[in-house]
Order: sequence, then structure tokens, then C-alpha cells
Amino acid sequence: MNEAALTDPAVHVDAAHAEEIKKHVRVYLIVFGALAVLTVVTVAVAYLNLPIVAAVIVALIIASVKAGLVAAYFMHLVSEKKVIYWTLGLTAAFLAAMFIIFIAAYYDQDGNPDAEAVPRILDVELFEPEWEGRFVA
Amino acid sequence: MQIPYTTTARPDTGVYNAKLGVWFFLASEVMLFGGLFSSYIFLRIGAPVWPGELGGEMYVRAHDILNVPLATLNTMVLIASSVTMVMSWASLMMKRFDRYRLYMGATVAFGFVFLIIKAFEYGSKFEHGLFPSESNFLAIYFTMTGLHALHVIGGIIVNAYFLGPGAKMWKTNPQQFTNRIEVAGLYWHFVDLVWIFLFPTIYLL
Repeated sequence: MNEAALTDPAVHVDAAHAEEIKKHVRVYLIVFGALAVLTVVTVAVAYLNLPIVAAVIVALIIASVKAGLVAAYFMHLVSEKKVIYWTLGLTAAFLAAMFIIFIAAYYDQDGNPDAEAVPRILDVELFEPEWEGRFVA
Repeated sequence: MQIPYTTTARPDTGVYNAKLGVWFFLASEVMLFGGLFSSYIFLRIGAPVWPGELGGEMYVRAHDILNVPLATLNTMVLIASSVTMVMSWASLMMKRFDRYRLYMGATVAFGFVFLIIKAFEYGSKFEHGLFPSESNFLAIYFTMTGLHALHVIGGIIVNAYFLGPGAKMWKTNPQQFTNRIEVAGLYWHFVDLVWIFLFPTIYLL
């Protein structure tokens, strides 16, 4: 470092800043390694042919951890402003509502996803569909 | 007219405008892909067997139809591209424009590699007569991976612009250019994030 750099406070700030970014870079490489390992684990688990419920749970846990790492470090969510967290919180709430509506609709129709199935909230006596031959073109 | 708060944080939000704008856009993207994931769940829990019958044969696991090794390779490619993307931003933060070009070039290249692998995958499905119209499984597979691939193409276009003509801004306004790369990165990481969920749910379960 030259003499001007030693006396200029702006250069000190820049040097400290660059050092900080270098630390970030080390974290990025660690996250990269973790994501690669977790990808291999996901594939390995899939070939164990676990029962479907267990397989779904394990796959979603691993995917959530991977997504968390990407969001936290690559998208800088570990150190973001409140407005971003609120935006994401609201998005998560709407996403959850959408999933719940879909699942509720499914169970509301006794597990029959057909669009023409009668919702249970209606009078089943009046609207009981005649399934026999209903879908014959 | 000068666009406000491109380099400094807006006092009430605490972030520069582009960052909040891109996060709002990503929020809408979450709902777009969320709707498709909901449809996928809906189709799947309503199906007696998944993926079900295809070409006269009954399949009970998606990985018996889809090419898992290619998709795994593509997962690695996208993860690597996310790393090079964040490294390109970090390079600008360290005032290393030469390294930025290297990392951004690698990001664009990884994007192309992803699309080429995807094209091979689609091509092999079409060769075997496996089209979206064949079954609910193939319809949702092509819809979700196809929409994701369109997002990759969009990302490549933006990143290629910032690698080429858009990079001129580094000389006139380096801070704004760095911020642009950060928000382009947010989008690119989101595309990676969608794939992180698509890969196990479509290919492995």
C-alpha cells in the first residue's frame, strides 16, 4: 500500500470493505459444496425406494434446506431490510392460502378431484350426481 | 428524468428501488410457480397411480420414465451458475471488472449448458412418443420444466446484456451497475431455487 493509501481514510474503508467481501466469497464456496452434497443425497435417497410419504418428507426437507441456503447467502436474505422480509412474509401467506384452498377443495369433494363433483357444502340429496355413464363422450 | 434511488437507499424502505421492485416481481413469480405446484399436487393426489400408464406400461415411480442422471447434472450446472453469478457481483464489489466478466461469462455459459441438456432430455421424450398430451404426468412435467426453461432463457438474455452492451455503465456509474448485477442475481438465484424444488418433486418422487 502506498503512502497516500495509508493516510487516506477512504482507502482504509475500501480495504476493509474488500476484506469483508472476501469473507463472503469463502461462505459462497462453502454453500456451493453443501448444495452439491445435498443434491447427491437427494438422488441417493430417491433410489432407496422409501414409502411415498417418507420419501416426500425427506425430499422436501432436503429441498427446503437447499433453498434456504440459496436464499440466505446468494440472495443475501441473512442481512436484508425489514421491507423485504415483510414482502416475503406476505408472499408466503398467500402461497400457503393457495395450497390450502387446493387441498381443501380436494377433501371437500371426498377426494374426487373432478371439477363437476358436487361440493359437500351443497345439499347432497338434491345435487347427487349420477356417476354411471357420466363421462362417456 | 433521473430515476430516483438507483444507488442510494430510499429513506422509507431502506433499500434502493430496483431491489424492492425485483423482490415484488419475484413475489409474483412465487405465486405463478406456486399455482403450478398446487396443480401438480392436485393432479397427483387424485391419480390412483403416478405417473400411471404410458405406452401400455404401468409406471409407479417418475424416475423410471425421466432421465435422473441428466437432471442431476442440470441441478449441478444451475447451482454452479448461481455461484458464478454471486461471484460476479462480489467481483464488482471488490472493483475487479476483469473477474466480473469472467464470472458473468461463466454464468451465461452455464445457462446455455442447462438448456442444451434440457433439449436432449425433451428430444429423447419426443422420440419415444412421450408428448404432453399423453398423460397428466407428462403434461405437468412439460409445463413446469418448460416454464422454468423459459425463465432460464430470460435470465440468459439479461445476463448477456450486462456482459455485453450493458457493461458500459461500469465506467459511468459503477455503483448503479453493481446494483443491477445484484438484482439480476436475485432473479437468477430464484430460477435456481425453483429448480431445487422441481427436481425432487417431478423427477425423484
